[in-house]
This record gives sequence, structure tokens and C-alpha cells, in this order.
Amino acid sequence: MLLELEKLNFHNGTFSIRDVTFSVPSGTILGIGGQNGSGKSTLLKLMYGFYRPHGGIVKLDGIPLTGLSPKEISRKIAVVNQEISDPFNFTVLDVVKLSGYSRLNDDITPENALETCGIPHLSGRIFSELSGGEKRLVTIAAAIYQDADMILMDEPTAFLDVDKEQTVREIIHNLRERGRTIVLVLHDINMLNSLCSHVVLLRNGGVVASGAKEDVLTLENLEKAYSVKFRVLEDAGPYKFAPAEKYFR
Amino acid sequence: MVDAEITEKRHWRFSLFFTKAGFLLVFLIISIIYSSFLGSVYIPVSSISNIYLRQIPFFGSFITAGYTATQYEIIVLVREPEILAAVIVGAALAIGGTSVQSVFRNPITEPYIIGISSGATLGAVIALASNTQLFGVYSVQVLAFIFSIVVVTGVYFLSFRTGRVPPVYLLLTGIAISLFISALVGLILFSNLRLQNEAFAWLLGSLSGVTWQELGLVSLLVAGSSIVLSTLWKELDALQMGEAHARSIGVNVERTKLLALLVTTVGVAAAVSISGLIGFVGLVIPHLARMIFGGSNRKVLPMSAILGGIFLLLSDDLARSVVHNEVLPVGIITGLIGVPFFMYMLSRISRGNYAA
Repeated sequence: MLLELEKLNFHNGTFSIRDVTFSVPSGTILGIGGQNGSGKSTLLKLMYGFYRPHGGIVKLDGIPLTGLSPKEISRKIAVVNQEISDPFNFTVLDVVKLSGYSRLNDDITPENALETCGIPHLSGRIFSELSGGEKRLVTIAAAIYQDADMILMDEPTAFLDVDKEQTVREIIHNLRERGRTIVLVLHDINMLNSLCSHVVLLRNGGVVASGAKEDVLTLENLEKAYSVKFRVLEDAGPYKFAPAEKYFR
Repeated sequence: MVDAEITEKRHWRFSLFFTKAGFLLVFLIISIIYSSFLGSVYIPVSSISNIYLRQIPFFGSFITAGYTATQYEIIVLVREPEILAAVIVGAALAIGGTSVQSVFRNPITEPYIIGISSGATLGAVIALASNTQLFGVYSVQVLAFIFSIVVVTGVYFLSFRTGRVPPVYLLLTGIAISLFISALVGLILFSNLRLQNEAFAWLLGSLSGVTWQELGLVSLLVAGSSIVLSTLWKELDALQMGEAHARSIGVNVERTKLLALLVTTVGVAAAVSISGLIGFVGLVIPHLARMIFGGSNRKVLPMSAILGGIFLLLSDDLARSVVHNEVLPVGIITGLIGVPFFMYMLSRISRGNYAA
């Protein structure tokens, strides 16, 4: 399965996307990075057809998204959105089941999906009464239940405490091992570095660099994307990049 | 959990739902029978039951005695249409409220908010002011219905933003247009004092004097609208979680909103055309249904219709019996009962007790 973006242009007042071209190779974990407001989430919403581009094209296995129905798209692409409204009086199980809307097969049950995310005990709880981190895990479980080849996640680890962040990392790696393609919007450079195999860096809605992680995450590209000088920390494990010293005050 | 355990739990939940739903249906039927005893004229139970039996096709032809002609007329031409109107209007308002609250993801909305009520009022007041006989004796009802649909259509198209209709714009446009039209209605009433009594009755909502003819058409429209809405339960559930999420699981968001608002408007506008403005049913009953049946629209849509029917019928009973020999507009009763009830529910919801 291949998702291609060609010369994508879009603007909606606050955010714009300019001439964005890249493709998401099958079976990779691709990260989209950039400053706040650089258009990362907007780009994600273009990638599953929620927004219609004003120019350019998004193709799924060679077919333009505009030629596919929402149901057809959702069988191939699941999304974990950053913001999710609280439905009235829904249990966690209700929320997960809802993501089976377009499913054709019954390979995994909602209970399986919750178990994959380590939260089977939340099943009967009211969704709106959960903490932010628990809600995030539930929406990830819902995306897993949707059973699509590709999962787009908008800041999946934002606002999570350390152990839940680890859980999410585990889930992402497991999905990758099961042959899923993952696209992550991440503002954190070290997260991009430690989680992803491919990276796209955005600045003001345009692409600074895209490709394999090793080629994209250079000090030069990072400075271009974030307007901040970075340095490489030796032996710091996943925390490889830090702002150059003058930014610590 | 083992599979057998899950199956058993599901089965248990399933039968619990049918117990609750069955109880409500029985309660509705009892309320309907009880309501036919209420009225300014006393009619004995035996006469009423004979009249009911008389109305059953074929079997009825064997019942020829046990009541007077006046009693027959009061039951068949006055009480029965009013009782059915209460059930149908209550159902339409409640199911419409459930649908609109899901589309707007907002617990304090009701169907009137998109312009149904202001449009209907404008239509009714224009019909009264011009004394038009364009649609015969039903001119007020027909114009109320038509203006309702026209105003909601206007609100919908004014809310378009780059090919989409964001709920926030729809809500704000609906409120703004409603205020504008209320001002127009005020202007017409101010310039024509004769109208104020008739318009007053319309604004307070009343089910008195409903005829079988109006009821026939309205119940068809309400039933059609309710059936279509009930089939949209998954889509309406998804919309509650945000449009981006709904779209990501495969829901055609714009089409769902358009269809849901269209059929809601047809059902509620039809109901309002015969009842005038009856408040609070569309706001309160969906929440009550969610407290009893959980959040999913699969159960909440049909059950809110039944609850709405019961609520409006009992309110109408009160309206007819609370003051001796006087029928209060039922809109006053729903407001008087609805508000304290709503405050009670709010306190439960805020204590995290939404689920009963």
C-alpha cells in the first residue's frame, strides 16, 4: 500500500500547505515534524481526505482520494486525531465499536484491541470521565480495531506521562512489526529520531527535507525547520538532539 | 474474560434493554388509556371501552350500544386526536432533539435552534395577519410548515464555509436568523393588535382542537422522519466524537449532517405546525433517554421518541385538569415541569452520574 502526495496546496485561513510532495513507503514509520503552526496536523487531515486540497493530489495505491468514498478510504487508513469530542454517555467499548463502522471482516474484537493497548479494564467506563492519557489509549485502540493498513497519529504521545508514552511506543512498534504503515505527527525532534524510519520536516507549510531519517535529521535541516541551532549529544540514547547552548537561560 | 462470560453479559444487557423498553411501551399505553378519561365532561369507563371497541375494524360492527352519540363524538373527535397529537408531537420533538444534539455535539441544543420555531411562528403569524385561505382552514399550519423549512434551508446555506457546514457556524447562524425573524414577528404583532390573542396561543403551544385530517398527514411525516433518523444512529454516534474522527472511520460527514437536519426539520416542523411552540421536550427528553439507555443513538433515538410521547401526553393531561373547566396551553406546563426536571438532571450529570 502506497500513499503519495503530489504538489499539494491548501489554505484555510490560519494554516497553509505549499507544494508538498512526498510518499509514504509501505511498512515504514514516517514522522512529520516542524514548528507549531507549520501545518503538520493540516497535512494529516489532507492525507485521509478530511480536507480537500486546493491544488495537487493525494493518491492511495495510485487512485486519487477524491475518487474514493469515505468508507473505502477508512478501510485502508485509520486516524488517531489529537482532539476528540466527548460523546454523551458513551462507554469505552461504545467508542471502540464505533470504529468498526466500515469494517468488512471480524479479525479482531473490540476487546482484543483494548487488550493490545493494555486497557481491557477500562471497557465499561464512561469515556468522558477518563483522563487525557486514558482517552488517547482508547482512541488508539479504536484505530487498531478499525483494522486499516495505515494508521495516521497526530501527536500520539502528547500529554502522556512516561509509562503511557512507553506503552504508545510499544504499540507503534508492534503495529509496524505486524506490517502496518504508520504516519506520526510529532513536534519533538528526539521522538522523530527514536521512533521513525522516515521523516518529513515542514516549515510554513512547505517541505524542508524528506526521506530516510538519517538523511533528513541533520543539524542544518533542523535549523532550517525550527529556526533554532541544535547540537548532537553523545551517548544520550534517544535524546540525541538538544538546542545549542545559548538557548538555555 | 472468557467468551461464554462475554456472551452471557451481552445477553443480560440485551434483555435489560427490552425490559426497560417494554416497561416504557406499557406505560405509554396506560397513559393513553388514562388520558381518555380526562376532560371537562365525565364519561363512564364502560362507555369509553365500548367506544374503543366500536372503532376496531370489523369486530366493531357488533358493538352498537353502551354509549350516547355525544359521548362518541367527544371521545372520537376531541379526545382521541388530542391524545395522539400529544404522543406524536412529543415524539417528534424528542427524537429531533436527540438528532440535533448529536449533530452539534452540544447538550444544550434543541431542534428549534436551527430556525424551525422562528420560521413556523413567522408563517403562522403571516397566515393570521393576512387572513389567507390559500390552504383552506389549514392555512396557518401549512404556512408554518413551509416557512419552517424555508428558514432552516436559508440557515443551512448561509453556514457554508469552503464546501463544509461547520456546526459552530450553523448554530450561530441559526440563533442570529431566529432573532431576526422574532423581530419581524414582533413587528407584525405590534402593528396588528387584533392578532395578539391568536398569536399568543400559538406561541404558548396547544394541542386543543387538533383534527384527524391534520393528524393523518403529520403522523406520516413524523413517522417517516423518525424511521430515517433511527437508521442514521451509527453516523450520529460518530458525529458526536468530532467530524475529523467521524470522517476517519468512514462516515460521510456532510451528507449525514444534511440528511439528519433535513429529516429532523420535516418531522419537527410538521409537529410544530399543529401544536405551536412547545418548549423543553426537545432539550430535556434526549438527556433522560441517555440516562436510562446509555449514550448510543441506537437506543436513544427510538427511546427518546417514546419518552417524548409519554412526557407530552402527561403534560397535556395536567394542562387539561390542573384548573377546573379550563385548558392551559401545554407549552406552559412543559416549561414549568421541564425546567426543574432539567435542573435535577444537570445536578446528576455534574456529579458524574449521567449513567443511571
